[in-house]
Amino acid sequence: MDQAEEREIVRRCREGDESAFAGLVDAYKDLVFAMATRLTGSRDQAEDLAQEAFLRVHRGLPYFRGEARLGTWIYRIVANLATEPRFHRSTAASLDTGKQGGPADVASHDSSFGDLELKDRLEKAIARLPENYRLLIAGHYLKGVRYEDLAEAAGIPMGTVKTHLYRAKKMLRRMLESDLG
Amino acid sequence: MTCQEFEDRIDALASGDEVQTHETRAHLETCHRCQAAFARAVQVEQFLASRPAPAAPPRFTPRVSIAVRHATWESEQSLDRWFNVAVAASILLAACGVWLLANVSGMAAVGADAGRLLRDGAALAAERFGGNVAVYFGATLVLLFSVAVWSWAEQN
Repeated sequence: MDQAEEREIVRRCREGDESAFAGLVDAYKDLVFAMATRLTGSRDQAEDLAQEAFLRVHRGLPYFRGEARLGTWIYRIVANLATEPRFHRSTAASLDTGKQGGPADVASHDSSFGDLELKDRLEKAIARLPENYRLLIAGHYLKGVRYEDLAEAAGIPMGTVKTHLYRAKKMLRRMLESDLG
Repeated sequence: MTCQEFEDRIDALASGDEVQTHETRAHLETCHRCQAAFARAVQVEQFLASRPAPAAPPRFTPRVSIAVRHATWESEQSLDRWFNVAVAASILLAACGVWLLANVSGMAAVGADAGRLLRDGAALAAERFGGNVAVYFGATLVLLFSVAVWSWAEQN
């Protein structure tokens, strides 16, 4: 969605056009849901968070000045919501990747088990990261999210975003190494 | 290049933000510790890039639309409640003001000498009105506030 489309959709939403708001939800729901799932580690909580985020978007649209991109503003809303205790992720939570292995030989079974174990360790390590690092890690690899968007949403310079991401990844490596002994 | 210098750039190299230089390649070829660290960094990078990003469930948009309609309705109900409270409070205050005026000015005790009192009433009321200015002022404010709330509610 380019900026002209964004302005138009915001204008129509402000005028109470329900179909325009539904269009806005359609455009951003996957991004919001993916981010929410990564932050909460649970589909149910992610759904609640995503719905609450869009309610806040609806309430906030009359005050949206258009200085930031709509997606950036929505990202910020999701990030703020994720810091609320009701959406805090349990450190024991592990994302279900939805990939179930079929029959395979022992070697590939061991290998996929090793991968799953590694993924589980990394998910748990991510849950132990400081809040600001966790938000950046959750948002960084989503389709269409750029360093600039993260910087704008977090209110920090782009160089700091990169530095924080490198530090977060370094912490993940350290946690993984100490886990694996 | 030292191990510390390589370590400082390892995540930028693994993510592709920085490209390998002759120096970094040369260091990697000779340092087993940094080779292992780099392999781990690449592993973390690949994992982060491949983390699931599930799509929103079907019927998510209609559910949000219903939630928005419900929230809007609740907000309007709340506004209506406050408007009604403001109107009731202003009517009550106005009634109190009239009652006080009637009592303080002696109009409630009008009896046989009503004619004389009525003659003097206006002068007496004006004289004693000053004591109840706060009540009238308060009632007027509440009335104006409720009109303003009503007007705002009508516009929105």
